[in-house]
Amino acid sequence: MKKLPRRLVLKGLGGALIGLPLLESQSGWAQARLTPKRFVVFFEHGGTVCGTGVRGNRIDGKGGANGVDAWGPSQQTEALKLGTIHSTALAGLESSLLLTWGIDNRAAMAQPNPGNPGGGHHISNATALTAAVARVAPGVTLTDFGLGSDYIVSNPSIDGVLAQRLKIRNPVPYASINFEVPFTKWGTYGSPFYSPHPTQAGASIPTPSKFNPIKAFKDLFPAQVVSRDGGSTVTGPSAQDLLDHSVLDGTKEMLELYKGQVSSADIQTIDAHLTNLREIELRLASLEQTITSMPGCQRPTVNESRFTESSSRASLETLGNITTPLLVDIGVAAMRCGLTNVFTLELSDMVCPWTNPTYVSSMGHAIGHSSATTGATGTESHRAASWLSTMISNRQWRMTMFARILKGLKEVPEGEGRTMLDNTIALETSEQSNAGAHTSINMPVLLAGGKGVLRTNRYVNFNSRAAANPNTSEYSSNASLHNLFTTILRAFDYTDEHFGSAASPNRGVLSGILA
Amino acid sequence: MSLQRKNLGAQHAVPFSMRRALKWLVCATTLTGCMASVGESGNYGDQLPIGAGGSSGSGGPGGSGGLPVGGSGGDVHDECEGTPPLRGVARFSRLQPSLYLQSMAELLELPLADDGALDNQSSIIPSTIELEQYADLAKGWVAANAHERFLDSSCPATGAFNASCATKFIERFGRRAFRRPVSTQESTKLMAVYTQIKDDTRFSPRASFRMAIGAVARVVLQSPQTIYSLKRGTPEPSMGSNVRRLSGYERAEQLAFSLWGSAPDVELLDAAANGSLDAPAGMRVQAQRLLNHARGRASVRRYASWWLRLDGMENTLKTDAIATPTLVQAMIDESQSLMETAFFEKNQFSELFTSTKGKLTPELARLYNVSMTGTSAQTVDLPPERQGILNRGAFLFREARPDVPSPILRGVFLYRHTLCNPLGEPPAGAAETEPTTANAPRTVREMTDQMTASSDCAGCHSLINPLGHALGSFDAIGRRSMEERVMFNGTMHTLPIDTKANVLAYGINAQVTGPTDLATRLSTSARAQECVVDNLFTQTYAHHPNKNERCGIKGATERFQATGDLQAVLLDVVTSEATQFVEESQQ
Repeated sequence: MKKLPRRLVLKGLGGALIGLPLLESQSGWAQARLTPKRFVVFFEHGGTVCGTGVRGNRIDGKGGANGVDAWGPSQQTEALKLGTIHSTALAGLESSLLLTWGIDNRAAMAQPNPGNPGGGHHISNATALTAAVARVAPGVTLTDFGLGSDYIVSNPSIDGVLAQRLKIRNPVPYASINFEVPFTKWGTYGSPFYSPHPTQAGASIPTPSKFNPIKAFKDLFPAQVVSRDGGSTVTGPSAQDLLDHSVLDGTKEMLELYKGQVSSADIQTIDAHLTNLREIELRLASLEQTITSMPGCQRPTVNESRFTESSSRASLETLGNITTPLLVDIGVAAMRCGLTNVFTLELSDMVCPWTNPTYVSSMGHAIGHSSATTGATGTESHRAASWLSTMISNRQWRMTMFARILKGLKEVPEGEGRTMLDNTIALETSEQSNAGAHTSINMPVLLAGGKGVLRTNRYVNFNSRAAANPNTSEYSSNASLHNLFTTILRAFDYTDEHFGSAASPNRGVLSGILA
Repeated sequence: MSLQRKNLGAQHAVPFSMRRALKWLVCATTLTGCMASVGESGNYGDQLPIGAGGSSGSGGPGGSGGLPVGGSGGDVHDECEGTPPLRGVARFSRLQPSLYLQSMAELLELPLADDGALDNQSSIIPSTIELEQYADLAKGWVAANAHERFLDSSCPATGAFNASCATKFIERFGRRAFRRPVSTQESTKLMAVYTQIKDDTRFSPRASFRMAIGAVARVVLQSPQTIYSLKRGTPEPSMGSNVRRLSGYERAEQLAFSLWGSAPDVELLDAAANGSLDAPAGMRVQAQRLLNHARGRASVRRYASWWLRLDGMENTLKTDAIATPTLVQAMIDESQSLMETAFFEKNQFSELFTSTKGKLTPELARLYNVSMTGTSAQTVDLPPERQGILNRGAFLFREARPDVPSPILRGVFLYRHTLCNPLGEPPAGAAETEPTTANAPRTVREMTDQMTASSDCAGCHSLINPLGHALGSFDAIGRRSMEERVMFNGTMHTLPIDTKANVLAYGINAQVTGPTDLATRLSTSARAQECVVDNLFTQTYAHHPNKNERCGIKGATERFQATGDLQAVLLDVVTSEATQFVEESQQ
């Protein structure tokens, strides 16, 4: 039998994938014109400055803990009035924002949590985007300042679910693009990002991420790929391309051969390995084909002499102020160029060396923790002003990075008076609310984009005690991240009734979020 | 109260955050159900686990299991009568990043790649990012032409296409990378890569022999045969229908991975080929050769880091500015050197707990309050209180909180990883334990005991805390002091530190007077020796020995307890027949 040329096969595969949206359009998806096309997660570790107590109550600051709320709005009104952390960086974007108060991470609160029930960094990370059941990975001691994944989580995170689903609607080279800004010493205490397990239904694996902007740039925008804004075209594959493809083909052949050597139980592993290799191959093929000419697609500029393509994770840890905007720009460009539908950026809990004043390490593994001690009678009350200044400038800086994403998307028109941001939903959050209280109650949740789908330019408070008195210090809420993520899936026009741990009573969507 | 962190000299400071830090202590390690995890026949209540029956749990460092605790001196070996000593090796796994990178560095004779070049694995299935990393590594190595040393001398890389040369290259290079001979089918597949490039007319100018060989090498370096380890075994009728004996090449791989943290060299592969490894004596000869090699010494140093959990220690948060990265590295090096000396210079178990020699840098010498000259690290005599590896900086620094020592962390380590006593996990809700209110200044010891005095906590903490208290004269950094400074009601108090403790662990059941006494008792503890065997097994085979496996190394344990010969017991463990099998049902 004559063997089909590999490129023809690839094109055929691409065609098959591209054909899927047509099927979906018949089921109604494409008829929902406002349905967002992309999803962004901006995850900043270490909580925020919100004055939330362990039980969700507002801390008055008269005791040991600092009760400053810089996260919430400046006014307790439904019309959005941005507060201290957001107001400068996000000025002008209010019409695309929806700020919430009172959404709890009930998945974390419901599970055993050695260290800090309901609020320890590890369990909070494992549940912050999954709302799932998590158990400590074998061999992990949670008393350590954990790196990587410390938990095995039953379900994928919301970005992992949407990456898989949106790729079916809109085939792209990368189901998701995941970046991180590492800082090992205080770390992240585990990852919040989990992808569907490749071989086990109802399971997930941590989503790997890239941290080196130069490497990420070269991977996403290989030199031979045409810039779709009318840049010069490279004709034909280079010798290196041909070699790369031969190596890939040869590796796949070796995998096929290996399948015959492993047990039936292990064939799944090799099949998943093969699937991942094929995904890489499809990416190369789709990049080569330069499928469409998308408006606004521009390769970002990455001229950086302070590190190289091979710089290690450790060597980049003190360059977060350099790498973060670069990673943002690359991620935004990838979306603008149609390389992915889902972009995530994870900022570890950096004691930013570039903030002023620089906080010393003796303050603990996160400056946010000092909210527990910088109240009026706190043991570090004398440092309250310094702590607050540093903490807020740190979080404000992070928000400039979130704004950079939003603005990058907003610049691109996508027809019918809408922008790329309008057709995107972005989620900004953390694993805790008040890091000093180590609490998973009243999570920081800021949504953006989703014009016509989300009720933007709004502040939505789920604290039922606030109905009578918006400034109350009391707290009671039935809203959970389970509900938030279900709501987000609905925003994308999926019909899910529930997201996260199956046993959770927090089912259904949140009111006041969807338009 | 004010913060007191500076100019504390050798004294402990108990800063503002003591209550919070101690809360963390309890949060992290409050233990209930510690007895319940011992095993199905354990029924210890709140009593010392000596004298009760039991079987092994599971775990190892980081786990919750431990050695069985027997009724009379822990003689669990009686249970081994008639027990088939089976298996122990992982049947199918992916090489850990460090193992893969080390193996490739030695294969290609290139410097070891940055450990960030390959992500830590979260799954046996490589992610697309990891696959890209494998591909990038292979491309980089091949760009350095490092693989070309496997070309026959009559086949220059710059020469013309030559199928015979390519075949030989595949045979030689593949054998080292795959850790076994390349099969005919594999060779055919790899030759197809070579041929495809040779014949591809799209290359302009046409591809060269060097390019084709380079592409083949790249395939080999990222092929499943290289990045996975598969133990298929060969039929072994004498062991029953469901048991297969490891092949010679699989034994070679197992030996090299265990003793070198790397792939087999040519000599070891040749030993596999000629059947030398099929006999215990042949295994022993090769194992001794590997252990005597520099890589063998490096593995023993890695064992120290594994046992003492020193990996990542540089990220351990400390509030004291004296805890510099260079100090931390000096501590790690000191403990690794002590382990290396105990294995290779003294070759004696007791050395681990009796040595008063230390390889110190000037910075570490200052911490120990030991005078030394010169600026480079050197081996010096230490005062008696530094006797043994557990009274050194690395362990004391690691098993402590950011600003205060932790009797619980230190006690748990000693109880679980030095004496291999089974221990459960902290119960849910333990974290909510608040420090009890005090009406007088308290030492860390006093506060710890008061916080763990409730009936829920005391069952386990009566076993854990005393071991930690015996080391109470060392602060969170590892400095020694017999006084503790405590801020109470705005006034600094100086309190004496009491290191006397009633230790109730299986293996040591006595009142100890302090760190030196504890170390001396450990040096003669048969239980601690048994625990060394357990730990060596766990590190070698990446799992805690099960009952059958423990029975299989029974002889090794007894010999070790009689001789204290560290090298011999390590060789016994890595060559044990108990681990040279896989179960066919897992095929």
